[in-house]
Amino acid sequence: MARPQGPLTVCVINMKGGVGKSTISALLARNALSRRGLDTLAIDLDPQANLSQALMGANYNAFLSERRPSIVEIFNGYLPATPGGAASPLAPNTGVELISRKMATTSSLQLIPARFDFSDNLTNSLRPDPKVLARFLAGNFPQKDLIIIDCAPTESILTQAAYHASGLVLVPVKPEFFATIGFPLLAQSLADFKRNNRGSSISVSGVVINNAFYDGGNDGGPEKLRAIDEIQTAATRNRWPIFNTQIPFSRGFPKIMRGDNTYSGNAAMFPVFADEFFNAVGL
Amino acid sequence: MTEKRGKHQLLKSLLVPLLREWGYDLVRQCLVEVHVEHTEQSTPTNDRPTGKEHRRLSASEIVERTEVDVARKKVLSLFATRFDAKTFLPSAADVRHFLDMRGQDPGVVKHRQDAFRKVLDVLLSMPDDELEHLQASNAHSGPTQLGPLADAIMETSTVIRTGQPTADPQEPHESTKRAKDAPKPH
Repeated sequence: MARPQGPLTVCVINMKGGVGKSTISALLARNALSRRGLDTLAIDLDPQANLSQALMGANYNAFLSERRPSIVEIFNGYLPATPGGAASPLAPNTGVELISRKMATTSSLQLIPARFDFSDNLTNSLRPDPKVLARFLAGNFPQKDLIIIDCAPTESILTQAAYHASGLVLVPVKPEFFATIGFPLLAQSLADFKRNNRGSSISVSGVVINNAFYDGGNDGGPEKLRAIDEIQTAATRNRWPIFNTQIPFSRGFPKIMRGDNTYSGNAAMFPVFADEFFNAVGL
Repeated sequence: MTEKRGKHQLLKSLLVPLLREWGYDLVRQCLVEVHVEHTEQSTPTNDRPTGKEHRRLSASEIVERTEVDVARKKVLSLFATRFDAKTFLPSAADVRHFLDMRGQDPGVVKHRQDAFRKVLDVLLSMPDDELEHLQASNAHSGPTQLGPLADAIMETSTVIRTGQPTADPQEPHESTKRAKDAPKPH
């Protein structure tokens, strides 16, 4: 069920690590397929590859060992030569891993995984073209409903690549002091991008409060309240809406990311946020 | 008509000694009881095997009884064997997640073994290439372990960054094999 206007592309980003970007990306991607039946592509733009590990599970080890293509090859623009053959151009499905397909439909969840050596792209002398990803997606995935890009928390060429490919930004934040430090950096980063790319209409769909704060029996206490207040102030200043649904604290999240489905706890409430998000962005 | 009357004659001749021995009311009562028992035995809900036969079929047995072409049955049997050995969808929660991600309502999965029929429906709906991909992957084999993952990262890192030749890239990594044997966390 392709959208006539093409896929909605959302990058999940905060210039602060550990706020739940990969977890939220993985769960939104799964939810999009399983509950909404959306034809979905997830892209891991973080060299730590946590999204890839979460969606591929134990299969990620084999992906590494067999040296299957990844986002690295897409940025390089070709498949490297092997002892048995020359370098070759990218095919439309290069680097695309099937995670799941919904029965009796054409909708699936696919992933373009990352590898640790993706970070080499940042340190090599040749700077990759930040528009490569947007071109690859536009050329090969017009039939998708949703593309979710999990970004690294550091401003880099990969951040620019995510902005070029995306129409919307989702900003997870934890209600703790250091997490809000990422807000001004992100605001500046987006402003710089828009100034240098006048054709882009990328906008922030909203801020989601990831309530993964140690409860301590008092729901985080006064420090959490202060952090929430700062989040609201910063979001208002940047005109970023805040989603009503907070993601609850749950020991189920790390288990689910590991592929252990035996306990979900409050993580079972994630679809409440997913519903609010998908409704807000018109999916 | 003659034949029908003949049958009734035979029936009447059989009933006469019964009526003489036990009387009309008792024979009628027994006839009703026999009729009820016979009806109950004929309904499907009472078709269950009894005694030793009353047990859950294994996944392999279910596949064995499924009508499907030989090649596909062979592949499905491999899944069934892994399911029985708990190396494919090792917990009821994994079964639920597997079904959920494929748009199949898992319903209440009280016993993992009972849910295999739903899993089989999903497997039967998959095209051959997808089935082969699922078979080749270690996905849905339970929680992942950091150790084998770290091994895979280190080894692949060495190969990529130093350019040292690697073993056959199609050969699964040793860590992947070990991952299957690794103890499962609770």
